[in-house]
Amino acid sequence: MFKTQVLILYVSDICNLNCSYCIWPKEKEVMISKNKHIREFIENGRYFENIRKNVDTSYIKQLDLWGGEPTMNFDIFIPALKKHLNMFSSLETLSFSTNISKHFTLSNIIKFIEKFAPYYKLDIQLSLDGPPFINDEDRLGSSSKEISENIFEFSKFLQNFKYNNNVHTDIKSTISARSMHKLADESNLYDYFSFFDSCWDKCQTPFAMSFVFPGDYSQENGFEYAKITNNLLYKWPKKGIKFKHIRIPYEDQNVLHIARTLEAIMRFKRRIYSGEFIATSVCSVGDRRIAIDVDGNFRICHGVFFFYDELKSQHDMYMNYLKHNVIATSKMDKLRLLHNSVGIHNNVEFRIAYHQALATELVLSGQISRIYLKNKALLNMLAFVTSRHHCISDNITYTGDMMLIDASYLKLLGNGAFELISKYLGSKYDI
Amino acid sequence: MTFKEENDKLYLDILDRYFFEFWRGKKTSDYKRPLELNLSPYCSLKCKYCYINKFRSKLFPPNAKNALLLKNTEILLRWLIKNNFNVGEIEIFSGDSFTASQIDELYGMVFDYAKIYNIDVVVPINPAFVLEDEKVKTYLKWREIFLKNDLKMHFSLSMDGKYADIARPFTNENVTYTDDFYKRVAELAPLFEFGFHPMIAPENIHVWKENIKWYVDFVQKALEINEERALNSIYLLEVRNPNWTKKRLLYLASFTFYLTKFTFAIYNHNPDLYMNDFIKKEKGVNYYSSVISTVGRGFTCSIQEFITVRVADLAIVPCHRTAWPGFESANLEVKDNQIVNIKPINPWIHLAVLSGRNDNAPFCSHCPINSLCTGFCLGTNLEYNKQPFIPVPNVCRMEFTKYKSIAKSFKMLGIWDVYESFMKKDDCYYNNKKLQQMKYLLEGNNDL
Repeated sequence: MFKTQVLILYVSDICNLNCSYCIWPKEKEVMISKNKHIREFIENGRYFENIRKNVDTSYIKQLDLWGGEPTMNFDIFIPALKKHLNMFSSLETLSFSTNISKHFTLSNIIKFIEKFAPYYKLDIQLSLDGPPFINDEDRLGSSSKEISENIFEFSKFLQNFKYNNNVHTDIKSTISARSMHKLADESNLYDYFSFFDSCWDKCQTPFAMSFVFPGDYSQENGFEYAKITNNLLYKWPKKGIKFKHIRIPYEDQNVLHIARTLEAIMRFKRRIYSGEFIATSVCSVGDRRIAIDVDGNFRICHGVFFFYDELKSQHDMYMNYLKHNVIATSKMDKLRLLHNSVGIHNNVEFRIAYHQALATELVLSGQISRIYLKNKALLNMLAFVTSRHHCISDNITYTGDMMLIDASYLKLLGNGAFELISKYLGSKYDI
Repeated sequence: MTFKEENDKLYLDILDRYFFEFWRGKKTSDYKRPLELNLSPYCSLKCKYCYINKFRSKLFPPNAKNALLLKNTEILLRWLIKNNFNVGEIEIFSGDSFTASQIDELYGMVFDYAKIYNIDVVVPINPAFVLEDEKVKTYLKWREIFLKNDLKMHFSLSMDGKYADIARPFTNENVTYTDDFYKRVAELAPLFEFGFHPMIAPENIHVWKENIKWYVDFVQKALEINEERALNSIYLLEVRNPNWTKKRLLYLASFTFYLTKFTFAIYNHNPDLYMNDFIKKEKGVNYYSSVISTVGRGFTCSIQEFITVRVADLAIVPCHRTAWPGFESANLEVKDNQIVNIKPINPWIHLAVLSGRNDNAPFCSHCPINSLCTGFCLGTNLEYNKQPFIPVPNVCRMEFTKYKSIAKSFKMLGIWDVYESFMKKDDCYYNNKKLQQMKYLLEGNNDL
């Protein structure tokens, strides 16, 4: 029986949005039939039966609910989970991410909170990419205005909710290559932060800026990200640009990630290749988390729930074979999957070597700054940072291998931004 | 440039820097950057441990038939000539589905190319062809032609030996191995100047004690050389498949003790001679070499040297065993029977293959025998782990058993002290590490 602290469940195969950067296939017929299957297994209890057969449920502390848009099936999932809660005797936390784009989504979230918040901690991530010029062009089918209004209404509900201390929410803004281009314009960047600053006024919910990974970033996007970084870390603080709630220099996902890595190097410099530090920093695959679909198959993470046999149109090149890489049906195959997960999680040396080689090739191909040829320490640092910051499902989707990233992230950081961030953090952390 | 255009340019630049600039003669290096022609998936043997037998449909497109293979070989070689690419060496890697006349056509094309650039041709071959006189004549004819033109044609014979060939039945069940068969191989051995590379497989490990004796005797008589030279004409390879069960590992341990005893006797039980001549100079039948020497490549096989083209669809693949769907790094696009473009597909795996190392891979990076180990086979990993860079645990057990048995046999036969002082003589990082790891195997509480 497999033991895991966090179990990832697949509760919906459909989504009411069609985000431009979403790599999940949009074949309607397949989605609908797959979702029918999921609903059937949730309703008749076979999903929970399959969980019980495969995983030591007494060990599970957290359930992560994923889709599609998970709330689309909350009408049946809420009563089903309620019915089977006894099997999760150590359960502490429930979490999900939602687009909160329509009023029915909001109603489903509130129903979920009312049922479970009295007993468990709830972590809810709300997706809002930004003002209309960012959100509405990427998150197709949604409007920034409507999402904001839903978030404000949700916030009001929480203020009056008895167990609101058990509910933690944050807003996640996802930046694509397209929106990167827009944010390179300083006035757009200002509008973007002003938007979230005024959101804070109404809902007191923190926001985090994150990036689509791997994201198909070109060298041009790298230059754009360098401009954004320069504005946030150097130009605005010098100009004295301030917001009411958001602190500038604002530390986005990359800055925070690189800061964590640098900090870790300082703290654990004698233990870089041992203990927990060798592990990847942003992905818990192979550590304490496994995903399970309604049929009882293990998936390496939630990012590969969309790999299934009917898939025809997207990433055909890799999928036919590679989808089997990250899905396990038999007991032996599940062992294989866990073996690979642990192997990848506990190793960083292979990825560093690969990232060093890739970064060097990118310099020679004129796609990232030549400084990485002259300054080996900076090259090694870049490789070290990017090798700890990777997404297995994106890797397999784009490169066909769980350990290999494509050139996108290196191009994003390697055209000015990483140098600026390193310099900034170097002075901050006295490195 | 778009993201896709940048990626395409990146891979073409990589191909240029790693291969084409050497092929154009713009750069030189100490080692070759040869071309492997990965030809036919069909064979007259159906070896029990052969990956093609198990994964043929994954590794080759269904249209990989001889006529197409010959046509594409011609297209590929014409493209090399048109670009003035001197690949330095060609390896013709194939089953043996070709008829004598097709062999004639294939080697004619290869010869025309080899003559222009004065290059060697390597042919790994199984011995089944000795049963067909026409094929024998054709191969010998081309060997003669190559030799007359001062070109080398190496035949590396994949024959496991009288006892171990139980793992290599003929596809035609009416054909079996007989004494006459081996007699015919022996007759042809001096004419072909075969190199011998038998496989130590889970399926035949239980007979390898008898087999090594037979093999050395066979080579000695066939080539009319002494026992020591016969021994050193053999290049042993362990099959790195996952079916090394505990029972088979015990056979491997027993065989390893026997092999040390057997080879030590050939070197007159002289530890200095054994260490300096057999293991250092002659590479210890490829079985003992890594207890003292380090391969100058990241991966221990030749995957980082070659560029492999799967001829059936003119795809560049990491190697013959990793040519799975999705792992093609590029396609050579053909129009009007000419290669007109290199279309990158998945460059990332190829770059990882070119830049990777066995000893920094998951599990290997912290393995207590990572400087001794022969290293994993990316193909095996892909077949069973579905991940090319993560080793299969049973293969690790096999490596562990092999080196532990070598360490213990050295101790038992009085070779250990010489080995230790040999490693201490050159006080360098790798020697110290290898010695420490051998000591761990010898002294540690680490039985299977």
